[in-house]
Amino acid sequence: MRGIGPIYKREINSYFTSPVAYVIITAFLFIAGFIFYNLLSYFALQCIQSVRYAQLYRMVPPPMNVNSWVVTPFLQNLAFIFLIVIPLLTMRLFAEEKRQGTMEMLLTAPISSWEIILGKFFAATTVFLVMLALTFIYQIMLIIHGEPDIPPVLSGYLGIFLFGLTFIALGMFISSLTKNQIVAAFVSIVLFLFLWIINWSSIFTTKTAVQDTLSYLSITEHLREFIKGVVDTKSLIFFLSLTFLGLFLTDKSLQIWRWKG
Amino acid sequence: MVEAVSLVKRFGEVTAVDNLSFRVEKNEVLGFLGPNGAGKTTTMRMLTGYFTPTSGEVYINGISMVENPREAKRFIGYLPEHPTLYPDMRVEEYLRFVAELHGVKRMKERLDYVREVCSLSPVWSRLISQISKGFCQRVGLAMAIVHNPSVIILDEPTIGLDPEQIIETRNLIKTLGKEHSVILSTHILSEANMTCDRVMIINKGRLVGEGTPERLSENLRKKRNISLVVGSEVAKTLFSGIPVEIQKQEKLDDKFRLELSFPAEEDLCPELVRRITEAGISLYQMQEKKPTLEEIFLSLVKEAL
Ligand SMILES: Nc1ncnc2c1ncn2[C@@H]1O[C@H](COP(=O)(O)OP(=O)(O)OP(=O)(O)O)[C@@H](O)[C@H]1O
Ligand SMILES: [Mg+2]
Repeated sequence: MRGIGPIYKREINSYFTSPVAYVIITAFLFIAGFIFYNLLSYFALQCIQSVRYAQLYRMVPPPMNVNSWVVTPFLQNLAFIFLIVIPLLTMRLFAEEKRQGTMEMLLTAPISSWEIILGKFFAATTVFLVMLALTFIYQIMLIIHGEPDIPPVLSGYLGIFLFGLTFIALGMFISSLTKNQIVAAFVSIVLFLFLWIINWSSIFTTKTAVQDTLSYLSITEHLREFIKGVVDTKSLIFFLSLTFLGLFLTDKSLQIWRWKG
Repeated sequence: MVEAVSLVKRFGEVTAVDNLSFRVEKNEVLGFLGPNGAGKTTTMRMLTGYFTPTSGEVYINGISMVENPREAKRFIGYLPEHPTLYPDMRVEEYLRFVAELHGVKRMKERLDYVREVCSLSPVWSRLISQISKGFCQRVGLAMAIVHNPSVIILDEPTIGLDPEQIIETRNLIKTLGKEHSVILSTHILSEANMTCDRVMIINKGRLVGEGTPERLSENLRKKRNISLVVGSEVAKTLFSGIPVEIQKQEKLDDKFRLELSFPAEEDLCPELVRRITEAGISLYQMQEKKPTLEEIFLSLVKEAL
């Protein structure tokens, strides 16, 4: 496992010596901040309105829940933004090595392909975690100034973290199939969108077996559980096994590369 | 020590390497010679574990590349045909990265060594995307030796270098060949002649000739060519009964230059001299023309077609 360290370090350097990581992180924070700001403003507006309404009819104002008005929709939107952003992080992982020809150096170094794969995977995960952690600042602001229910915030973040691992692994696999970064990013986004909406067609069937399978395959449904505050082992296994599948397929893809060149 | 046993590599219909077997001992420099598309690069890629052979085995210091690649690769230093490097890294950073992948212990010492022998000082802390092709080639060479491997595989090591660097690189290869196993590929026959202890001529993935550069020119010579300077014109009939052909006859001021060839099996030189002098023709000069490696190479490749 000696090779993971150098590979990881090189990847991180290459993210941060080029403007790529900064551009992606800045754009991401802008969009995420915009969404958070709007949700929060809307929530504030609703609070004021409900108080006025209650005054008008001389009633006790109904309780307003910051979790369901801000945290839940924010995390759901956040996941969707990551669906677009993660392919931008993973597209270059192997496609660029293939295009540059540096693959030859990597694959003749005395390290196993798993060391290469894990080094790259951890590097992309690090950048992803930086982004995720930066959005956590918003939650801290909520906790300081409001009274959100904290466990669903944490389990929601755990869900998005697992969701990110899954997409990073799958995105890396797709990047290992081509020499072209743009193709890798595009195919990844299409695949992720499909996984996002896969359970939509379950309304067209009445067979519960089909419905169950589709909803089990649906990323959104598993994520929803986490955001609701439920840490379900079934969902945990779902994300982790998809992540492992992505890594495993990347390894196979490198083996095929050694055969076909 | 490198051992290749019946290496075969097919890409779909194309057989790039067809049943090659060879051994390279420690302290030996082996050269792969062959025209474009002969399979030199493909063979090297199998030796270094980049390509999985379709069939056959590679052993590096007795360790199988197919079964235990991670161990076997530790002994290899490799300069690929196009030493493409990470453009966003600096030279030193890149060589340090390669050395780390190989688990080099005495990092500073090794980096100083390659900086010295590959003359990398002028570009040491420059970005790779900003250095010239020749320097990229030198960085590639440095990458192949930074971890002091016992087997060094160099795919066209001198391509793109300036004349001074070519000479230095050849000397470096010769020095390395004293303590390591070195395999290099080249199109430049004089380079093979100068640097290699043994040459393998490959065409269309097959071995068509092998030996030391001298032995190749001795053994593989089918015909002997003799050049003579004589006093007067020689008629064809002079050599009737013996298999001698007159290749060329030209007039020099008051003498004639004659080029003859005959099969190598029988030494016809004394007979030639006897016939010429008996015919009353004076003989001024007689010289054997040894074929160059170029000529042998071309004739071998043509035969294999
Ligand atoms: N990845 C690949 N896919 C398909 N065919 C390939 C591949 N790599 C090499 N070949 C074919 O294998 C044959 C040998 O190629 P190789 O690169 O080994 O030749 P070479 O001796 O190194 O030539 P050169 O002197 O031009 O470098 C060629 O016919 C080439 O087209
Ligand atoms: Mg080649």
